[in-house]
Amino acid sequence: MIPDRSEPGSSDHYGIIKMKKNAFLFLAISILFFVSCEKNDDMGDQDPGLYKITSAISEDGIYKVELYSMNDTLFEGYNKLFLSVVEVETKNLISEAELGLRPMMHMVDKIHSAPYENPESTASSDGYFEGAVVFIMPSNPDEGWVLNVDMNISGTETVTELEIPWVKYLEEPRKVKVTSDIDGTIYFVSRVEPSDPVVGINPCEFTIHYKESMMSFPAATDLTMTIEPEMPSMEHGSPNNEDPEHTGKGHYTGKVNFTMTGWWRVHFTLKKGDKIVSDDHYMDITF
Amino acid sequence: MKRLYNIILLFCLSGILPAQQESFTIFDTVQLEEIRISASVPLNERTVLDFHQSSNFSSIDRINERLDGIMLIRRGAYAMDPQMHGFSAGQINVTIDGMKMFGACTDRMDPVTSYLEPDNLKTLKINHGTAGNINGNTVGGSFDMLLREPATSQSPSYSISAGTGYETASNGVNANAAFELSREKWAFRSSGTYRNHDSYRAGDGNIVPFSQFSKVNLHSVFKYEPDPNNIIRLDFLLDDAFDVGYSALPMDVAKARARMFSVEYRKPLTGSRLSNLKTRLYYNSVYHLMDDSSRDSTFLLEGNAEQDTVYMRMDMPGWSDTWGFYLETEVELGERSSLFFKLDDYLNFSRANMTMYMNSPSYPGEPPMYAETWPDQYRNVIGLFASYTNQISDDLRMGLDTRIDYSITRVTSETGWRQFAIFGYDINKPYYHLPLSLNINLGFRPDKAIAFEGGLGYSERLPTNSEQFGFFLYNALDGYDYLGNPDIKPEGSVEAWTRIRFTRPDFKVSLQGTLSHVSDYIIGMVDPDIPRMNLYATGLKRYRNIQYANLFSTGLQVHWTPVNQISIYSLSKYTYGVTNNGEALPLIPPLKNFSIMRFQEDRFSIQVEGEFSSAQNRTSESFGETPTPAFAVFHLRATWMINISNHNLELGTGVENVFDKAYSEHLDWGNYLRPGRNIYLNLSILM
Repeated sequence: MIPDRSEPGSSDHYGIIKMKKNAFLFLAISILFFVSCEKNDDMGDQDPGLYKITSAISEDGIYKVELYSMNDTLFEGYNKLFLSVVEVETKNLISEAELGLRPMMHMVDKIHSAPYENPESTASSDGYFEGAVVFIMPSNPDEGWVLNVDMNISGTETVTELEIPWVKYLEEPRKVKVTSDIDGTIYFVSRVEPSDPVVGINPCEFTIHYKESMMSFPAATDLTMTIEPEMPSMEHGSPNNEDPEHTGKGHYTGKVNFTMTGWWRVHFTLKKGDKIVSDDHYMDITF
Repeated sequence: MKRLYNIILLFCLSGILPAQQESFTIFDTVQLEEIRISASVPLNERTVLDFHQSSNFSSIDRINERLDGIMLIRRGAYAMDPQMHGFSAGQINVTIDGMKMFGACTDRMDPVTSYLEPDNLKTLKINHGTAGNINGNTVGGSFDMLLREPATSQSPSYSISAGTGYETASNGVNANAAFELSREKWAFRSSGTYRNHDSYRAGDGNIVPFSQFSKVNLHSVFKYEPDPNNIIRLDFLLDDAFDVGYSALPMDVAKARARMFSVEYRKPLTGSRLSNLKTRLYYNSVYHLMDDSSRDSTFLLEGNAEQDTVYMRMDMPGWSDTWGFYLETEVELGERSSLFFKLDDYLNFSRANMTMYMNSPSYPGEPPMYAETWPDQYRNVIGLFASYTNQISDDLRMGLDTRIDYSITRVTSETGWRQFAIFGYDINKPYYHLPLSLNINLGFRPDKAIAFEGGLGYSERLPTNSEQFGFFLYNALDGYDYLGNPDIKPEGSVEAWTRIRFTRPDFKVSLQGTLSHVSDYIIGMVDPDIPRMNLYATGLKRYRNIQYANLFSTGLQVHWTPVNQISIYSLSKYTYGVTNNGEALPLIPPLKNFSIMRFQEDRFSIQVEGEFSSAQNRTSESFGETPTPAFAVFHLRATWMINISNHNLELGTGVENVFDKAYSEHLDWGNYLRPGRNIYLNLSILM
């Protein structure tokens, strides 16, 4: 049979061109797709969104101190604290001050302090003095925390007493009390990171303080720490974790990997020199 | 004319036909036949014999099993994974009319062949080895399933056919129906298949748990043909499988759903320099949902407070969408030589994830665990295929072909990036591959009765999404979790093959052999430093390129017709695989033979079949393979065609595994027994 060739301009002719066009358009689109996939994720620095916890006027009546946190309620464990200091009369925001934190737990029969980290003498660009307190027990209706702030502003010394409304107990503790197998020293290990755990590599940061007396909880800077994450119900761990190393002020920084969401248990071992301080403690992280 | 269609239709209804016809076809010295085609199995014509027809309702798997060079990896009674000459999964190229489609299951519970029914197919085109590169890069071969097409007709006509069958071993019901309408300028066909099988009874008398399945398949095609040189066709395919059990896996399938749409335009232009112009645009979408809710070994029994040793339930959905097009044409260079070109492009999106719900009484209230087993990924592959065929002399023919692909793969899921960051990979970037292939084939026919064919080829194939980005995919065969390797290299295979065919009208023999040397062979290797993730897993394997693996495969087919009524067909196939360390490759079948004797008298036929397998003692220890004993099973079949007032009726009956042998094949995961004695009865009618 002689093929019936369609003339240019006939509907058939256009038909074939159209099909080709579609095909190439499709190709073009699918290639473009990949180009458009190359987006840059701008993870811009955002205001973390602070919650006001409490405020008080200094003893001399000159300053007002406001206490902020990244959480709406403070909790048992390591809390980063943001303090703003305002001169009451002029409403000036103070940006240079020596602030000393003195957390105090007023129990029914005794008082004790807690580990803390004093802020730098210069406020951040946002006007906050950033410090931290490890609340080593939660509040209860009869017993609560007070944060005394010893202030030295341009040579003038005063103190502000901030009543902490509530320090909540966490179902999943972020602070573990460890008693040394070597000498019975009491250590407080607190989780700083991961604060917002995700599947993948997470920063892993703990603070370790020890109890010198009821009023003194210095940073433990001479320990070595190893971690081992596990999913207890699945009986598996995760690979390629980095053991936290001391990076200053009792902070131990490393990396912890989570291969899926869910309930993870990070086992840790503390050593002092060659001696084991403790090897049977863990911190649960569920997300 | 109508009668002819009726007959054709009846035959396609009456089962699937066999064939191997092509492999015995005598060379035509004028018409240039492609040497590359290893087998073309026409499904809608009754050819010489029904050797591959095991019943009226044979699935594609059943047909495959009886083809040279093809074996099936079996995880349950449904959705078997084809293996060609020892190659499977991403090593072979399974297409539908040249269209790419990918299963959405991370555990290969839905090979593409499971989404089609022979009822909807015209032909199976099989190209073994590196020469299977026409529709995409491959090292193991290609398996193209051509969809049925209705024919136009000068006088308006229609046909309706329907059939149903029952099988005792699985208490199974099969039914199909087809409707075809033919007009001068257009034609329409719609056909559907329904299957519903319970868990089957094995030869030892026990029910094989979780071997049930149900499915519905529907294919509709509309063809518009204003003149012989302009043909447009629209295809729609639907396949829904539900409640599919997988005995050998810890999970079943609640739902496996495929949809396919395509538009094709072709211009045969017969006799002109440029001919057989064809272009096609397509989209398909697969959704696959694994389900372990009925597994008492992994969860609370439904409606029963009794608890098991493991208290977990998993949701594992998977998606795979593919958009694509191709354009092909033939160019005649002279009387004896021609060129063929094909340009194709596809974009595949795949995603699978896993949510585990732990319900352990020791740890109540545990939140669900989530991970992305196939982090969202896109792969675009554009490829150009060209082949050159030259009839050098009346008895010598040569074919040359080449293919080049350009592939971009990109993971777009942030969770996926983070998952792989744990293992030191930064996968937030495009991955490029450029697989190549080149083949030369020669056909020499010194005498009308004898033909020698052979070829040399090289071909590379892309890694699959599991091999590249799979995240803790549990493999029930070796009990390991598998972790993808983003930097994995494509496999490359150097292959040599040969085939000798001897053809006399009453006696035909074909012997083929293929030798493949696969460099950068992709295989899972144990990594003791990474803990496993799935509860049932014994450890973790990562996909690696080993230096090489060698595979050898051979097949012998004999077809003898001693007298007109009796014909005998025998197929033997054997594969051998070894790694560079001398270790046996896993999932390599032993020697297998099908021997069939058929007696046909007018409208009645009776067929005796023997299926034999030698033992497989060459096993891969690192894959936890155990030796498989030899077996022999026998089947008996009979068909009877009746014509009642111009309606054709076909009755088929048979007994499979007559002696109720308890056996399993080496490629059956978990060594679950095959069905025991199965009696079936089929009835088909054509109006």
